[in-house]
Amino acid sequence: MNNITDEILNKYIDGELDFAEVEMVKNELEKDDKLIAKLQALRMVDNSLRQIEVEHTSGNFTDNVMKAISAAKKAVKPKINYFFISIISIFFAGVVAVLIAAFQSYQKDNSPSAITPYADKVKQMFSQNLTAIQSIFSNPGVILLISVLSLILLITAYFTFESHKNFTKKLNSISH
Amino acid sequence: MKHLSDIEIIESVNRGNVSDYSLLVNRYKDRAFSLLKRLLKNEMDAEEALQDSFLKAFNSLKGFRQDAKFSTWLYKIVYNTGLTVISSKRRKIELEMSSIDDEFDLANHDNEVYSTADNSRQYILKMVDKLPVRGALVVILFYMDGMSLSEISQVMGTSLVNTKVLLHRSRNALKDLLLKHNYQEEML
Repeated sequence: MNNITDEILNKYIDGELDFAEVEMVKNELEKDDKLIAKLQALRMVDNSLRQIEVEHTSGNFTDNVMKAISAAKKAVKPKINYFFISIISIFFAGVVAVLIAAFQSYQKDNSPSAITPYADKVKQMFSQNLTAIQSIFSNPGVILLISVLSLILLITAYFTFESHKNFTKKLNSISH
Repeated sequence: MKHLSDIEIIESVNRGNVSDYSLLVNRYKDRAFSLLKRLLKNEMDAEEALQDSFLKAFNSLKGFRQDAKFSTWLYKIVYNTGLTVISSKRRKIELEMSSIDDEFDLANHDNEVYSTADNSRQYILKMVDKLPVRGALVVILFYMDGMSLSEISQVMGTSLVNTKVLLHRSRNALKDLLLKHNYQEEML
């Protein structure tokens, strides 16, 4: 009885054995007819499997896929990011509010009869506004409010980023 | 006409030439269909799952990393889509039973196939469909698609060792049947 297993024969036909193992198989083959029959059958299986025929899809399969793709593209509407839009809106509303406040304070303090160079007016306007802004930001309540809002914004941004990262990972794990 | 590589086609599709995707569909549809037909044992289900697979692949094409071959990536989508169909059709139990420890006992189908096969080749090819599902899939991917065992293990999510075991067991089961019918004597 030889010690050539089916596993070794499989490796033999796949060319995965080293030189010494190949020699061992060849020696056993010379004296064991059953082993020869096994090897022949295994080679027959291997040769036949190399001739497996490809099955064919229906004739209009590719057209159907391309139609489905274009239909899906039409159906998908651009996704509106309401969160992003609301943050941008709040920011612009703030900027507009500051500009309006600055404009009003400039009109209030500027007498119509005064004839001053334009550059001085601008300079004056900025210095007044700067003082106004400084007074706003020196209020501890305002600072606290801004800090809280910034913290909320950062936390929201972090979770949005993490959720996007997880979604991408999940998508990749499905498709890859 | 110049033969475009998979990567060239993907780059073209990603640039907006969506119609070029049909080149990839034509290139892989039949072989992927052969795989799904063996997995789902039903032609209509296989074609539906294949269409779904190509849609999924198209939607994820921008995310395709070129560290793997496109065919491996696509077959993984095809295989997973097939598994989803099976689980949705409550054929999951059948697949779970078809594990690495499956009985590669084909005796139940032997008489039926042997009586209808004209020669050893036809007999073997018919018996491939009677192999446990995972065994048949490894055989298809290895012989028909020319995939390496490493690529097959990536597609099926099995270890390299288990993939090799599945291939060897499938071949051994077929070999034992050939010996039973003395088909090997045709080679002499």
